[in-house]
Amino acid sequence: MKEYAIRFFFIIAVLGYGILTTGCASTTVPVTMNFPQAPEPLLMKPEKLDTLPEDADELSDILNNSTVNYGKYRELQLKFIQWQRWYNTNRRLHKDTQEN
Amino acid sequence: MQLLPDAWLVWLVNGTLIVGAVSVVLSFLSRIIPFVGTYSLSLKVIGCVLLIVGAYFKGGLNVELEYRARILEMEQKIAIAEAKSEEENIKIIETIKVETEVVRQDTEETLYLIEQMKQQIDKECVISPEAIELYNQGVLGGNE
Repeated sequence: MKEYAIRFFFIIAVLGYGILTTGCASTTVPVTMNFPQAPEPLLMKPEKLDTLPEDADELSDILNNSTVNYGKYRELQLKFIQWQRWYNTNRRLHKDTQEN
Repeated sequence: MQLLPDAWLVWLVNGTLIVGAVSVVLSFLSRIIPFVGTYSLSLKVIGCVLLIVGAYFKGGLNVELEYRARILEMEQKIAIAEAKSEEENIKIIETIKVETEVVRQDTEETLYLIEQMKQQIDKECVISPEAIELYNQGVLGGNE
């Protein structure tokens, strides 16, 4: 009788272990997209605007300086637009991977 | 369990079911087969346990295989997304390179024109040091 009780207990233990361990199995897919790397030119520090030299006293000096600074602004504007493009593209790609 | 290949898992679960079924059948035939008769009860118990466990894991196996299929699908999607992202980065770098060159050429052309018209521009206008200071303040934002 004692032998049957031990066998019965063993069977219950095995079944219980199987049910519990399978029940604990995760169903979340353990695969994630790495954070995308931004292009190198977008990560560069922006150039500072040029100031006028103290000995500048002519209108052409201001025009030269303004032209150079406007150029720097336009380069930054271009990079800003490309940042937005990069962000929107990667956001869309990330969203696509999450959808079934 | 996740480390085992799919085929191994299928064999393991099916094997458990088959062994369980064979054990149960043998236990019922124990009267006919003299040698097995001694182990009749053990075979019955083991057979039942294996059948129950096998049936349970058969269901679990389907879930596991579906789960692995989802992982594979996800990995493929991510690989495609990463490739597209890399492709987009190359396009962005190219756009920046080309358009920066255009901006610099424009600037150079304007500077050239200013140089050409320098005498005409500077003819009637002289900038005072105070104006330069104010201008620089505007450039630097007044904080530097």
